[in-house]
Amino acid sequence: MNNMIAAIESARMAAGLSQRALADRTGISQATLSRILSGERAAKMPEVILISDALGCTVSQLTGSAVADRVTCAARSVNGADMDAMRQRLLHFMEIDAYLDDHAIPAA
Amino acid sequence: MSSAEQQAKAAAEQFREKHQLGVQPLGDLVALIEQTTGHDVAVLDAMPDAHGLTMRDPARGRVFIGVARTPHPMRQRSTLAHELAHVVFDDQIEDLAVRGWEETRADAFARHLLIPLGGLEAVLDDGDHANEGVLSAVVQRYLVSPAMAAIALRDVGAISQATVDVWRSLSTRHLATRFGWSDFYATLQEDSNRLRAPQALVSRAVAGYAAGVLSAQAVATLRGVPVDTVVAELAEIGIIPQSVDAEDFEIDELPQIDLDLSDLEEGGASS
Repeated sequence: MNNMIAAIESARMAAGLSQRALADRTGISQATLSRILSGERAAKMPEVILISDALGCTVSQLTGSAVADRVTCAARSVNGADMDAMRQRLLHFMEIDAYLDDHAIPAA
Repeated sequence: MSSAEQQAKAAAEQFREKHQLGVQPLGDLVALIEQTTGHDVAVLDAMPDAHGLTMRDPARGRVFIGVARTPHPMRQRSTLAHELAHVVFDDQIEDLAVRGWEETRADAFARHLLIPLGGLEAVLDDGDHANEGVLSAVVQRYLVSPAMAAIALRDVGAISQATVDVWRSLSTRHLATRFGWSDFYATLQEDSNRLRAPQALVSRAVAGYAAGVLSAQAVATLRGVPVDTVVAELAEIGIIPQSVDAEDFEIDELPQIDLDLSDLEEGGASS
């Protein structure tokens, strides 16, 4: 799964939206959305913007960003568990946090 | 005592001293970590084996700690304390699937933080040979796994290594049921199995929403709740987004834009 699909799916789960609900909200047809999410077809920029809007994440989180490239992780898991779901969620927090920095929203 | 163990013990004692935690049992670890470190903690839906993850943005000095929601409260507490160790020691690990020396040290830190030997000695009767009733009381008091409690009891000389090996396999549920605190245990389980959004970030996101720079959906996705709930809740306490209207800006307040259009001209001529 490429990064964009992983980021979309993580935000979609957190937002509690089905693929159908996401299609409705973005106006992208279910067939097209399904092809994007299965990796068959790359999302075009206007679609990325619609999706990020509907999911409440930043465009840069979906397209790959400086934040994602520079963060470092330390983890506790057993059996070498796949940490990707958790990593995506924390990355989402980081992106929103960086976005709020950019818009000069002060720390609470 | 290995050096990882020694470092962990010293750091845990130092942490308790710095934050004036004495040798008492620690309550809500999520709030404790948020208040002592200023970092956000979230309880997330995750794969059963993915216990915890600490993510750091070196450019902005921000840290987010995620732990999995689970019906095993003692394990979640130990994971939280373990992740705190990574923050305290400033650990950065490249390969998430391999357990290195830092992991051993973080495990030891968690044990010393959650169940300080000084505090444990004080609650045990002198020269008492600990039985399973004592183990249950220690588990319930410090909210740690029977295995972790047994190691601490061994370290203060109350039980032998052989007893640790036997008690290690006892579950918290077993002790809670046998010694009459299963209701309390059920409450702990409900708490540890609930999702929790990162508090400071959500608070800041609400400020962003009020300022009109963040959508209601963004707040909803952070919290993992439906967008209508967010809008209704915030409207109820009088928070509605400020509109950023183009008419709010005077034309002479806008920044000067220096556009270099020479490429266009030359491009038109040469191609």
